[in-house]
Amino acid sequence: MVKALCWQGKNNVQVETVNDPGILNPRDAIVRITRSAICGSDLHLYDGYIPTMEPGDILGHEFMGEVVEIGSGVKNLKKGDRVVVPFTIACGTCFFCQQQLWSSCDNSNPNAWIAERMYGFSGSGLFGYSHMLGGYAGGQAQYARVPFADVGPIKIPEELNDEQVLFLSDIFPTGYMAAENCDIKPGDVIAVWGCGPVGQFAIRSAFLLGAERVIAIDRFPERLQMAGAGNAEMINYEEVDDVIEVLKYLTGGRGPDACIDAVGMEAHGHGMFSVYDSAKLALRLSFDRPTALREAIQACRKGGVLSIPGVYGGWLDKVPFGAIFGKGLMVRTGQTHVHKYLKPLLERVQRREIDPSFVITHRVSLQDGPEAYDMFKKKQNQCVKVVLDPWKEARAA
Amino acid sequence: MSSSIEKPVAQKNYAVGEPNGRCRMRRARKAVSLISGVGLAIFGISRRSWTGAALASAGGYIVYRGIKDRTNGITNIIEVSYTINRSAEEIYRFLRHWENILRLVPNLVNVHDRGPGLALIFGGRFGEFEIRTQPIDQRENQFVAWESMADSAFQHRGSLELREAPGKRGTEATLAFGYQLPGGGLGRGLTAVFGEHPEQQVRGGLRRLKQLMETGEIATTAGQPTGRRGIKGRILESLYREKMPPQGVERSARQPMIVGD
Repeated sequence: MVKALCWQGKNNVQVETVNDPGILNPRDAIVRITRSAICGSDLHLYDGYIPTMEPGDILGHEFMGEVVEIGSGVKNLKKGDRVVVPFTIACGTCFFCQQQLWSSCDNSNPNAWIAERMYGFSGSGLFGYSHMLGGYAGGQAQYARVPFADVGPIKIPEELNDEQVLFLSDIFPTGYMAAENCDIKPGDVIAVWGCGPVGQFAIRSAFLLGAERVIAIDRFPERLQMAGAGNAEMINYEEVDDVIEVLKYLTGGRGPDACIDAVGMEAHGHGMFSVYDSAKLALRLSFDRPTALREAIQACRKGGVLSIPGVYGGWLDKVPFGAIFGKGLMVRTGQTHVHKYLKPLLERVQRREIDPSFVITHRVSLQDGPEAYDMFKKKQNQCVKVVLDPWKEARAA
Repeated sequence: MSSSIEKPVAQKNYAVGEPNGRCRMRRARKAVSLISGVGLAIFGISRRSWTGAALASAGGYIVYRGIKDRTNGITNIIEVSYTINRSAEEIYRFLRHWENILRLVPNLVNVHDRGPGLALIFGGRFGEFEIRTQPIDQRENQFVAWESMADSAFQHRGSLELREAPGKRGTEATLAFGYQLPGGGLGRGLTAVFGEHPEQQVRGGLRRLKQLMETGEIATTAGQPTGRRGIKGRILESLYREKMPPQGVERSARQPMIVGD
């Protein structure tokens, strides 16, 4: 029996004792988790916005650990290997995996039919992220089963500690892909909405990829400061009248060359549309509040790129599509193709170009996970990123 | 590769010349299906949650099937197509082994070769039952077709066509399946709610073929740990196929696949 954080409904996460995971398929591995994290996208689950979550679902999709068991089909890993596990589950052999579109894997979602009804086609399965996206037990636990372990997990060299590599599982590649999608050229100015963990990695990745300037937009001082520490210019949207006008002013009237929406479906927003969105949410007519997206579309320069790593779930309302057409914007989005970025980003960490642990503000035990969710949601104690240690109590005992 | 295949068209018409008693039975079934459907829908709507919405749509679906339940024979035809990143030869060779077919259909527990035709033994939630079927045509590496025998409890006709996909993307596998489900509208409604509707089965079967051919295994969460499930969560576990299948099925699901001849 092992401990795990389980979703028990809206705003309700509990530590539960669950059965040990076992090998179910030949290409599975079991990982003893040494570090796990709470992702901003976990808050969409916590807030009850993602359909097909069920009470008892084990949460968590950012984790790493030690391989303790492998299935008969896994030849490249052995017991004792230290690995980071990508949050997308991909087979490696379908058309999409072979095109490096790992998060579009055809074969890893056992409940693909639900996603097909909603989206036409199903993306890959994900850890701990609703039944529609696979229903796989997640990694905010002491152990996890990792399907297709022969293509997913990446081995970590000894000289790097857990905190330096944990975020290869999701937010570093997610921020990096968001920046890469901007097709950054010399002189480019990139604007980033949302300075949560993904926004922070998007900012730093934009510089790694040669951006001239990055402008960060948020309202929490500690998050803006963290962005500032990464050399971004900062806009607190609560302190300015009109973000779009400020961005024009800051870019010589051109507008940012690319806009990154690292906020997603639960933008806090302000102004008329935000009231409208909240009313619709209250009536359950919609599950998305695309305030940041609207602003990013409006602010982007002609022929620019709109890059959207933020998670959206369903149908969006009042999205200025005319502006996308009118300015000829290129829109790029989607779940991160994590597998594609594991090796190159690990190498960047090894070369000390970036130390991803800068984003961590809180380190807690799995037992304190429920409080951590609440704190993260309410942005209390200047919380930006929570890392969980599943074995803290066990070690202390 | 230029085989134009005949689409399976359900032909048997059981409504003709039926005694009155069966008509009454059917009306009663229809009424039960309507009442249970409406009840489920109202309960679902009153829940005001995602599960509620799911229950409501399930209820709505049962009502819809109950109304749509036509009284004159087979009318259901499913056509599904997936591109499988393997050659037609490999797929055809795989399908020639019944042990492999067992892995494609979750509730199929055994296949007996019984003189004329085959007996497919299904297990599962609604007890064990047998379907009698026979191959009617095949062309190596191109297509197979089969239909139920006259005495089969489940009347159906199916074909699977394999065609090379453009751009070296493997093989387009197109499955067509026509059937009549016993139990009429209520049967269809209930099987849909429990994830055992023939359409889901057929679609799922072809998807599992793709998964097995491309990855060597079938993606699953059956048997993984979970926290406390509520009543609703336990019901949905079967829809999400999270529970370990019954003994016989489990055995077939775990059999190694046979790739060679």
